[in-house]
Amino acid sequence: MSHPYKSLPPRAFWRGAVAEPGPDGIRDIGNCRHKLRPGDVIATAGSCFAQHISRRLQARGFRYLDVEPPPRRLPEAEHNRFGYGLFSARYGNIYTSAQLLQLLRRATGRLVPRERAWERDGRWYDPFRPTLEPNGFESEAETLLAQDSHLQAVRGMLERMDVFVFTLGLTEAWRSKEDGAVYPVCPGIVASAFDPARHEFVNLDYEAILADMRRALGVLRKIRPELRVLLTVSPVPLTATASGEHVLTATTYSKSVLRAVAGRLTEMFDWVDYFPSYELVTAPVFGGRAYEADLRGIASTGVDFVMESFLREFCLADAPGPARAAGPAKTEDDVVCDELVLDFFAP
Amino acid sequence: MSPASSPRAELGRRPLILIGDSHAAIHARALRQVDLPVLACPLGSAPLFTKAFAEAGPDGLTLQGEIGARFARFAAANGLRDLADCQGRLVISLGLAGALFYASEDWKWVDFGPQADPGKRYLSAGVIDAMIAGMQAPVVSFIGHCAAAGLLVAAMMGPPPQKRHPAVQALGAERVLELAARCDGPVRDALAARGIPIINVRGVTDAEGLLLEAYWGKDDAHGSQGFSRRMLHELLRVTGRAASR
Repeated sequence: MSHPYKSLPPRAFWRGAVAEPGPDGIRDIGNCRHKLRPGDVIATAGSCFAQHISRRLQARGFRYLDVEPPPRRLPEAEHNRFGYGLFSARYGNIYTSAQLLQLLRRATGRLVPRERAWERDGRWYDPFRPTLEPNGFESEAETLLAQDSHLQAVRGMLERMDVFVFTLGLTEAWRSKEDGAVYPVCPGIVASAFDPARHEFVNLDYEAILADMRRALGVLRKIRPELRVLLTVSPVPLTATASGEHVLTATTYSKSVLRAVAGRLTEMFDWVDYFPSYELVTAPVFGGRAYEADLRGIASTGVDFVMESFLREFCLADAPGPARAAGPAKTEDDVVCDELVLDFFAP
Repeated sequence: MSPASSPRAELGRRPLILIGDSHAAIHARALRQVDLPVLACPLGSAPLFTKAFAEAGPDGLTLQGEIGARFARFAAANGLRDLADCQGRLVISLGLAGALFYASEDWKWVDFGPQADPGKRYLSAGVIDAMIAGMQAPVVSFIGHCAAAGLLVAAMMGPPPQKRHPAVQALGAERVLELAARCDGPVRDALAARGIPIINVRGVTDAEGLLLEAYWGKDDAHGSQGFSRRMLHELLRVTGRAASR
């Protein structure tokens, strides 16, 4: 008797594709339509897990775009502290779809948020990358100058990239009630003060995230009509949730929604691929071995495992070889998470 | 023991030992023309001092690499065993000449401050200070070791920026002076914290604070030997050795 499962490839069956090969033998997990080519100019953005991807792409010698490189005299130990070398521009972690869309709108002059600088103890902070300057800016004017310069650099990035790698991180966000501006960190944690009359919590749902991402992809393709996009979902659980749920169930909800949106976008657009870094870390077959002792951070070995899969399945065989410099110079501990600031407040 | 033969008086008769960057070389040349109780030894150009160049070990403070080799030659020629022989008479010309920083090629594509060129990438004061802190850390560390060992008596200020310097042309006098002052900051602080005087002279700058043309050296970063002579006389005055001339 014939039925549709008879003609499916081995990767479609759990026993042969997962259980029998075991965690190190799983292959052909992605469904990549546009592999990275050696000449592709690649830009990255997203949550803190995306920093790992950025570093490994740089280390592998890809044409990684960095439109805000560190000044030469800045000691390497200070690069990450000042937001250099984490992503293709100094936008810091972009956790949500709304943040990404608003960054693109700000960079293209379509959005000017009302709150453009936050103050604390005489120092000034950029609300959209509040941990960028460890001690804040000297003045509001300096904050705005740095912000304008950054957005100009982002514009340059948008015009030059061939591939945009974006890691979806969170559904939860804090935003302005006045104009809907979405912040990476709740007002009051790094600077400014939380004001319930001006700020609110939002847990973005599937429809909202899909809509944000469609608009964001639209902006990107308008600037670069041949642009290809590679989406990933961060396997890093939430540090904290403001949703009222347990942080474990809130994490599952958040990641499930993001994963569903990523899947939907690949169905809608043939120039969007999904790389399953989330599955390669969280699936039961991997036994949580990629996590650090806190069961949240991703250990270096976990990143290695994910990136080996990425290089094998999402890059052409003649992709650039090992690093021009001797591999990633920084440890995984160097990954900068604004959420660590939030963690400081945990009881 | 008579006052004239006390250790302090004996020390006062021994020449000062000036070591440092390329500005120390100009001072050394000037010393060939005048008879002053100062021995000068340029150890290398300023960039060499932006990386660790000295080590404090059980045998005292030693200079490393190329810098150490130059000092060893100087010491041998002048009857010094090591840095410890410079007890109470060491003068440095290190970390107090901002040209190394304001002359950077970086300023062609980055900018700072309220008048920043919007076509360039903006560098915040925080980033600039971190750059300077990293650059000056070896000199600051050296000052700490020298002061702790009782070697250091003074530090020579580098010459102010010159109007003809490309950085002044590009950024303007005010902003170059700001960069120079920021660059000096960590070294000034380190010296001030240990009560070490910084030797500087008045009346060598124009209304903008730039070095008067009369004191320009052969290039746009260094002072003339006339500038050096004034600095050296000021050094002797501040360290109480002028009277011994």
